[in-house]
Amino acid sequence: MVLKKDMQSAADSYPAAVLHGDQRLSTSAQYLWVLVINTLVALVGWGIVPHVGYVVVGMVFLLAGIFATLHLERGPLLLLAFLNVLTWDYFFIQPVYAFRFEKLEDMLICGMSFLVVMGTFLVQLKQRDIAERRHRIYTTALLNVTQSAALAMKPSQGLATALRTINEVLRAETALIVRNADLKLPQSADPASTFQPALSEWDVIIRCYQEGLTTGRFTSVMPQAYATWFPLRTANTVMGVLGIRIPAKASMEFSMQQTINAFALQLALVLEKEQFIHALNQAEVEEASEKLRHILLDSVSHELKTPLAALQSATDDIAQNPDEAIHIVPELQSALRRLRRTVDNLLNMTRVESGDVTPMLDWCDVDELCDAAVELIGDALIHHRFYLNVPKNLPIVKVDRALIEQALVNFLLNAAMHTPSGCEVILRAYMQDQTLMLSVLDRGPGLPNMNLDDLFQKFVRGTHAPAGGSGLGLAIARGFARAHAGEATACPREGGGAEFTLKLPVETLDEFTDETCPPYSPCH
Amino acid sequence: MKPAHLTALVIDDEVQIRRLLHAILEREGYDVVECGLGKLGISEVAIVKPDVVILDLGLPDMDGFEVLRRIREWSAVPVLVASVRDGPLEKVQALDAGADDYMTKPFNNAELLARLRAIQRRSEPSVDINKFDSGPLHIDFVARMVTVKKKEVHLTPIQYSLLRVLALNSGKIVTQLQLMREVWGDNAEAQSQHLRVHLSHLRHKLGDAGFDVRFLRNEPGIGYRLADSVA
Repeated sequence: MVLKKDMQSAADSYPAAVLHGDQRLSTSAQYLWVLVINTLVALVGWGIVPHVGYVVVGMVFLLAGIFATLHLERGPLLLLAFLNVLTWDYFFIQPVYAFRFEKLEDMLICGMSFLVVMGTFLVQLKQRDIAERRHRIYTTALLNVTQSAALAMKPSQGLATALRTINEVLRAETALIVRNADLKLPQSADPASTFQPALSEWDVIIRCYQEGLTTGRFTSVMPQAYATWFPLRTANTVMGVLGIRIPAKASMEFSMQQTINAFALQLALVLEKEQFIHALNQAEVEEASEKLRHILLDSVSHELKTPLAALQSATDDIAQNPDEAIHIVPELQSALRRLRRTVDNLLNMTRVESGDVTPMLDWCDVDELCDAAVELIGDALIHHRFYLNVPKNLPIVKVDRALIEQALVNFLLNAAMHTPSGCEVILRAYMQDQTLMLSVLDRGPGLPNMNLDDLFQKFVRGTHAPAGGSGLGLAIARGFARAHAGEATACPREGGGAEFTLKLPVETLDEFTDETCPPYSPCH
Repeated sequence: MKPAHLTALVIDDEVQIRRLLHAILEREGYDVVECGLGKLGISEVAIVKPDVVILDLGLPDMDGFEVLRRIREWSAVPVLVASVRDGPLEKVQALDAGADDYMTKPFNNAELLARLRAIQRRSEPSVDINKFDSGPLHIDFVARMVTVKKKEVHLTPIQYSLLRVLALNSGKIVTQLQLMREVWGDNAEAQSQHLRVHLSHLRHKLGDAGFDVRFLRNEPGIGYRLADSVA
């Protein structure tokens, strides 16, 4: 906001400074000057009138009036023009010392010279007005450029808007070349550019970047170029190059160059800021990934070492008491199952992360898929009240069965782990338009009080989650669902508990009777 | 049910796996020959003339698929592929290259032995089979009649045909392509969705009649198996 305010005050003062840069006199001083000029011209006229005649003196009065238009405001100027006419008439035109005219042409000259002075003044006023308006446009554009580039959510979008604004104001095309992080210029202009520099232009661009000078057309450095290249200079560095291409017949005035320089400075500052932010983000990301690595190591080593420890002590026990071995076997089996799940989870997570999940879609019976998932979880839900709610009339759908099965298994294991034994767990399948919905509902303690989307982040565990579990199951389920262009979501279940759903847009095969099938041709 | 003096050849580069398989198979009555390299494995097939080969795909000297192809050039010995690769593509590729069945490591011992028995049964010279029994399921091939718990289940011709193929290959995986060819002939290969609908109906009918449909197993991306046991 500070920046914006500064810009606003600059916008107010900028045209004023340019327009009134020459020291304007105060009004009373101007009136004094009117008297001085009038008296001086009258004295000079008095001196020369015997030699050149009164008409030339009239011209001197006129010249003085025209020069005065450059410095005087309207009131004093009116007075001067009026005084000049009066003085000339009174002191120089026959009859002298009288305000009368003898000849008609004298009267006409008087009137016309008065009009010439005022006309000149009006023309100048108009020009000033035009210049002022142009400056205002430039200033507004500059403000727009700064705002769009600095305040845009996405830097690329902001740059595009900024360049568009410049194009409109200057009626030109622009190319922006932003240096890379290694301080070298890229091979092509920023995508926001409205023209791509030709191959021959790159020498000019590099010269501009390296020396921090304006180069190309309308400059002394390589003027044969077809565009003008302005360095994007900040106090510390050159951030890149801004190229302006104006129509072949147009010319680049000084004020335009100044404006472009102002644009270039703003863009440079914004780009420099972006770079700082980027560097800062980079550092933050690195810190976060470092933290994630730690969590990974903790959680995975826990999930790997616990079953390993169980295996170790169970086998030791068998070695010492071979007769009792049979009682230890369930421990071995459960440790193995856990180890296997962790390894599978890690491998699946790696697949999801590396984007290596390409679903192999095939027709599949939802009923069968759900049965298979239930079978895969083994006795994980044996102490729960588990119900399967899969209508028989579901259409045949096209999914990658292995992936969806795994996602469902993860949901079911999640429910098994986070709900007390005896709790109700339901696996429900239904179609909603062309979307297959696979839900696991429970009547457990419900979802933790946190952003439910975060539950699907890897290694995120509910606040009151019991020990065990790698924190990968839901993340994998979501990864697999997304590979199907679907989604995995969690929400509180109506009446208490949690509801996890896979939403999969699927191609379906409508039910058909055996008669509509291809004919049966027995081979035996 | 100990097979009399069958020889099993185990081709796997992991000593531990070889040792374990050796112990398990020997207890089951097999003579076991081990080998850790693909090339050696191929020549062992010629020398030992095993009754069944258990082949790992990740061998140090050559690709397991290649070993399978080379063996198939001149031998019809039943091959069970046992690999850690669990993608459906690999499984289909192995079956296409001539494997009789495919198991993912880690596997369950009972399941392994059941699979071996199934492929062994298939490789024996076929006697005329006119009936099939598995738990409550009974199929009379002559009368084309299917009963579950002694009650007749009415199947359409296609459903019966599918069940028949699975029963004749019971315990062994039957690929989708095989199923489709058995039912529709060679010209109906693009009917996988129809196949799925018929199998779904078949499954529902058998399930309603009281048959545990978990025996009718789908192997995602590969095919179906009428299992000997629910493992």
